[in-house]
Amino acid sequence: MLEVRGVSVSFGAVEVLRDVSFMVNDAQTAALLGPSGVGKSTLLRVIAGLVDPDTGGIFINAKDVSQIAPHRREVGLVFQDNALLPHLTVSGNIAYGLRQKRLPRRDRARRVADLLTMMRIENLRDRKVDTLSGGEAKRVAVARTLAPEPNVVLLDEPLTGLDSEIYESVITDLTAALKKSQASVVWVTHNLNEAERVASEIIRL
Amino acid sequence: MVGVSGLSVRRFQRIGLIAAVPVLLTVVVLILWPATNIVIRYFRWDYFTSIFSDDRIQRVMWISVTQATLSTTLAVLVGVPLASLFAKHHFPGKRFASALVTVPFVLPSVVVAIAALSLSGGERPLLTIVVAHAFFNVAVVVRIVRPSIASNTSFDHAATTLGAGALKRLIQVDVPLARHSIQNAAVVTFIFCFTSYGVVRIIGGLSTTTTEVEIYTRAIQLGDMSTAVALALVQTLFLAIVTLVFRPAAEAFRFKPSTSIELRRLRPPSVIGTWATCGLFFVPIAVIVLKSLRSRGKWTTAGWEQIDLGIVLRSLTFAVIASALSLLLAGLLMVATTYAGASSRLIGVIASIPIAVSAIVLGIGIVATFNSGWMDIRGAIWLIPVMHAIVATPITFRILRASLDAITSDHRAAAATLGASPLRTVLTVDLDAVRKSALYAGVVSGCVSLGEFGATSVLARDSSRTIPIEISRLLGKPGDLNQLHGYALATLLLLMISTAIFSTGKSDA
Repeated sequence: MLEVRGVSVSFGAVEVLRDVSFMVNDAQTAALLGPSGVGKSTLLRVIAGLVDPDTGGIFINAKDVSQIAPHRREVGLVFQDNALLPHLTVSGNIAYGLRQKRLPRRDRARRVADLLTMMRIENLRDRKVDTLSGGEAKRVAVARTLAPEPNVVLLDEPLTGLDSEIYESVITDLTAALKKSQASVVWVTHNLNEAERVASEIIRL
Repeated sequence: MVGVSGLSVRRFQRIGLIAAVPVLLTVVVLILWPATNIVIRYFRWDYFTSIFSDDRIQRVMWISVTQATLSTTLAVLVGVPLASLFAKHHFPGKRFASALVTVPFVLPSVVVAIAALSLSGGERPLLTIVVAHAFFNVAVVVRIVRPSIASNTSFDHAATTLGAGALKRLIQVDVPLARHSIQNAAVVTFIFCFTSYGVVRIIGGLSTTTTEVEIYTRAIQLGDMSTAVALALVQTLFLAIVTLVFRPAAEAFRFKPSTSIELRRLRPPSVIGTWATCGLFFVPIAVIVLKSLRSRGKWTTAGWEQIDLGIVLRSLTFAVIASALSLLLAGLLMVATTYAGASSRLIGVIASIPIAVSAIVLGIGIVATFNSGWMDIRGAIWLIPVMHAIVATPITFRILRASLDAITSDHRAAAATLGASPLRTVLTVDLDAVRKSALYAGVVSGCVSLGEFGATSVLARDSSRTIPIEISRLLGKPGDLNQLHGYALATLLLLMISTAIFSTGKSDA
């Protein structure tokens, strides 16, 4: 369970977020809706620990994680531009978080294979990430984020820029994978239809 | 080319080629000709082959390779983590910490050398040389590697959310993604350390000598030009091979710079660690200041009272002239390499020759070439700022060039569609874009001139001594007053250079 409690963030004189609070239960998806520039991405970065809030706190399973370094928070983030590590292959990217957890090689390989199947990208296993299409890269980014089984999954406009046919297939597989993960999910979008379709709760910023 | 279409391409090319003429003339007359001349006059095959069997020279070569390898390794091991910290984090006092690390690059080699020498007490000269070289070149590594790591911040954030700690991200993300920059920085550092003159001459003394110092000793002190030329050829060939083998073709991965991503706050323990590391860079500076004011356990200003303002003013005048000349050459070179079409590459290669030819060889070439009749310019006082400008121009050019990278062919095309002629485009788009960094480039080239030691030590007469030459002369003489005087001059030089750099407000640029 994720709880955002009274989070405010300013960059210099610019106030980006003011007193934002909400809760997301396990296996629930909340959509964060709002026009661009309203601080949606910043809020995700605060939850992930990449940006420190001026006030307020982040609680995961009722525990305050504000002082926990981002790499120990077990919060997964699907970046808007995917941020796939360009020097690793598709499977290398998916295995990256598992390597940090020091998972034995055999378990790692099994988990990577499961995710490749779940996201229907088995054929991309050994591809270099700079050769992927937009939809393929998004599937890899999602698989990579889900691999270490984080408690919280954050998605930063995951479907922006995909054309309608690919959009349909990615949204279907993505929602199925998230449901299976049982994580608390925050899905950022500026599209109301998309928000209603993927989330049980909509938070407007 | 620059993406302007049709008719105007040729006109742009003409501007580029015209701009190239003065630069190429300078390189040919003051570098290529003298260098070729000394090779033709003094090269003897038996001397060339004999240097490979000469025990002393073999030892000199071995020391050169060893010290350059160790210095480069140390500079990279310290520089890459610092570059990564500066690229990805903000912390209290970051600007000052970054300046402490990057300013040494423009400090005079003589000053750094005497600081290192007084810290080591003359023991372990090889180790002292390695540390002094690393002190300089961490700045080179940080400057080259930092932008490359900064453009990879989003990957760093991705790795963080996947559970990778700071050290793992450094090894698994920063290093592989910036590996071409790191390799590039290592090659540049290796060349700097291999051809370093002031540091080795002052710290190494007679026992620990490198090829660069040996070239000077043979040519200037022993008059053995044939061995000097043979050594210079071997050194140039060796460095050319090193460059060809190890220099990367281009950056491994090119990304759009992730400027929109906020820098992360560094946590307190890491801030303290970073400060402690950067603070080490302050130690040599403090030592010099202290030594200028203290002798035999007593405080004194005697050294400061000895300072000859004539030498200071001369050094400053040289610096101003060298800086103006260097800006002119670098500006012309920039226009030439941007617009000269197919010839741009060749012009760039010819203009980078000053980096490959060491300052000592430059000086010796001039002395041995322009030595009779109307061509005898060896004692001409203007020759010193001109040589300083040549030594500084590759750096000036790089600084100007970096700010031009923001200008795309679309900007130039836009100027053209708004009615700007090719010449006006060059003046109002390109030169205007570099105007701000021109001040910084001018100050840096002035600082290079203030601290230049290699070429000046060959060319300077009693009437044209500069501050670094005077420092080395004073510290080579016995007597407390000479030492105090030398350290006071070194402190003054430090003050002048740091004031200049900090006043540009770009000390950590």
